[in-house]
Amino acid sequence: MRRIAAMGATLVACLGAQPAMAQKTFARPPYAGAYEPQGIDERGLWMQVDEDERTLAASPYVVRDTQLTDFVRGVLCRTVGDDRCGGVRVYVVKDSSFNASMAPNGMMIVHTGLLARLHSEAELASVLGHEFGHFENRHSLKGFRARRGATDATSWISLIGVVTSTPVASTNNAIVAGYFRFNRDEEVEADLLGVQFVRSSRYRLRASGVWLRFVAEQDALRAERGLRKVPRYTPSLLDTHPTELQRVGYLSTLESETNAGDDAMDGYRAATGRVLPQLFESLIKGNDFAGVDYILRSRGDALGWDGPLLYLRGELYRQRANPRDLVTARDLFQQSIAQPDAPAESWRGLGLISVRLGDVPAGKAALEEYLRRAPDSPDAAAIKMVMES
Amino acid sequence: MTHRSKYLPAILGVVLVAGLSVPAFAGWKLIEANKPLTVNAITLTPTSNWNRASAKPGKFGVSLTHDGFGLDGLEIFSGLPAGQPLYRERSAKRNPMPKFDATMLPTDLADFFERSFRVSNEITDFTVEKVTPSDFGGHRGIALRYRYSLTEGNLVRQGVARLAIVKGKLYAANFYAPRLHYFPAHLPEVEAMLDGARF
Repeated sequence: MRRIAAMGATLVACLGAQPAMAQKTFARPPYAGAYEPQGIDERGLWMQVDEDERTLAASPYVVRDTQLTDFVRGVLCRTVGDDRCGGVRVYVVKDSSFNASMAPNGMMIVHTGLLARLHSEAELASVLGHEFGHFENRHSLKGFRARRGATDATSWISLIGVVTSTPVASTNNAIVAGYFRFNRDEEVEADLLGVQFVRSSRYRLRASGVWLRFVAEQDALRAERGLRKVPRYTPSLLDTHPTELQRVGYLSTLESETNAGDDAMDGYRAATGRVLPQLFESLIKGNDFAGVDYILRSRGDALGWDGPLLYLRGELYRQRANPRDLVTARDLFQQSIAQPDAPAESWRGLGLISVRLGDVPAGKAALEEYLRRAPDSPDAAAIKMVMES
Repeated sequence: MTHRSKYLPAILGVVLVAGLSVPAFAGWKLIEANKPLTVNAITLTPTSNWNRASAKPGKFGVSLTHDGFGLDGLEIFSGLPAGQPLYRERSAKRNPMPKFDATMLPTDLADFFERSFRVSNEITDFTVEKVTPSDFGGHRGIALRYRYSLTEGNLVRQGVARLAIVKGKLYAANFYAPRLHYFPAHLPEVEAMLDGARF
C-alpha cells in the first residue's frame, strides 16, 4: 500500500479553510510513498475499506473497460502527478448519479453518471483533484474521529442532563451542527487542494461550470416534477457539503485569477464517446427525463451532436412516449441516421416510432435496415414479430 | 460530492419505524402444489408449494416465493389498464414509475418492463439477454430474458418475464433469482406454470 508520508501539515497550513487563501502558485510537496496506517483508528478504517475494495473489485457494477479506466487514471496522474497516482486503484462503476469518491486506502470510485455529465479532461481533473484532496489530507479519518467525538459528547451531556435535570437539547444540537460544519469545511479544503493540483498540472481550472450545470439539471428536474426549490446560497445545518452556488462562487473567483492550461475537450470526447451507451444507459432508462435531457443537450452543445448522442436523445423521448415525444424522437433518429457514425439502434428507433405513428412501410424499411446492420441483436426475433404483424 | 445529509433520511426512517411499527410483509399464505391459483383473471397451477406475500408489488400484481424474495420471486400482474404503473409508485413526484400504454408494440413492452424493474429496484446494472415472441395465457406476447445485480452483494441475478396485451390491458409475469442455483433450479417449474397459464 502506497501513500504519501510527509504531506498534510504543510498543505493544510498553506491552504487554511478560506477560499481567499488559496495560493496562485503551487508546488506539490515531496512524495514518500509506502504509507502504512498509523494508530488503531486509522488501521481499523483501512481494514474496513480494504474489505470494501475486495468486494467492489469483484462486483458486476464495475465497468470492465481497461481503456476507459486507463483514461480516467491518466487524467488523475496528470493532475496530481505520477508519483501520487501510482498507488491509486481506479474503479468506474455503473451508477447514474453525479459523484465520485476516494477511500483512505487509495481506492478511487468514479460513477458513469459523472463521466456522462462532464465535458473535458480539465473538468474531470477538477473533480478527481477534489477527491484526491480528501485522500491527501486524510479526511475520512478526521471525519470518523469528529463523528465519534460528537456522539460521545452528546451521550455524556445527555446523561448529565438526566442526572442533574438540566435541559441539554440546545447544547447537543450545537455539537451536531458543529460536526456538519466540520464536514463542509473539509469539502472546501478538498476543493481548494484540488484547485492547487489542477493549477500545477497542464489542465485549465474548470470547476465552477460543472456545478452550474448540476444546478441547472436539478432545477430542470424539480420544475418537471413540481418540487420546491432548495437553498442554493446558504447550507442548512445538516448539509455535509457547501451548496453548489457557494462552490461556484469561490471556484469561479479562483478561475478568474490565473487560468492557463488546456481544456482537452477532444480527448474527453473521444474517450467517452467510445462508451457513450454505457455511460448514459441507466440515465436514459431511468425516470429523470428533464434532468437527462439537460445533460444530453449540454454535452451536445459543448462537444457536438454526433450520431450516437442524437440517438440517445431520441431514445429518451421514445421511452417517455407521449404523442409529441414520438414525433420529436422520429426527428432525432432521422438526424442521427444522417450522421456517418449513426448506431444501428437509430434505425430500430426510427422503425418502431414510424410503426406507432402509422407509417408502417417506412417503419418496416427502417427495421429491415436495423436487422441488416445488427443481425445478432438480442431483440431480433421480437423486431421480426413487429414487422410481420 | 452532493450536499444533502445522508444521515437525515436514516434518522427519519428510525423515527417512522419506531412510531408506526408496520412490518414490510404483514402476512403469508401457502399456495399448495397442483391446485389452481387465480390472480384476478389469470389462472395458473404450480407444481410445488409456494408462499404468497400479502404485500403486493403493484396494484394489479401478487408476489410468490419459494425461499424468500432475496433468493427467488415470481410476480404475476393481471389486467393492468392504460395509464397505470406496473410496480407500486411510492412517490409520484420523487420516483415516478413508467406508465403502461395500450398502444405499445411488443418491443415497447420489453422496454417498459426494463424501465419499471430498474426504477422500482434502483438498478443500474441490467442487461437484456434476449427478447423473443412468446405465448402467455394463450395470447401472443413477448418473453424477456435478462440479468442484473443489486447494489448490495455481488451476486449476478437472472430473470425471465412474459408480457402480453389483451383487450387493452397488460398481463405479465416475472421470475427472478440469483444465477447461482436458484434461477436454474426453479426455472423449469416457472416456465411450465406460465406455459399453462390461462386468462
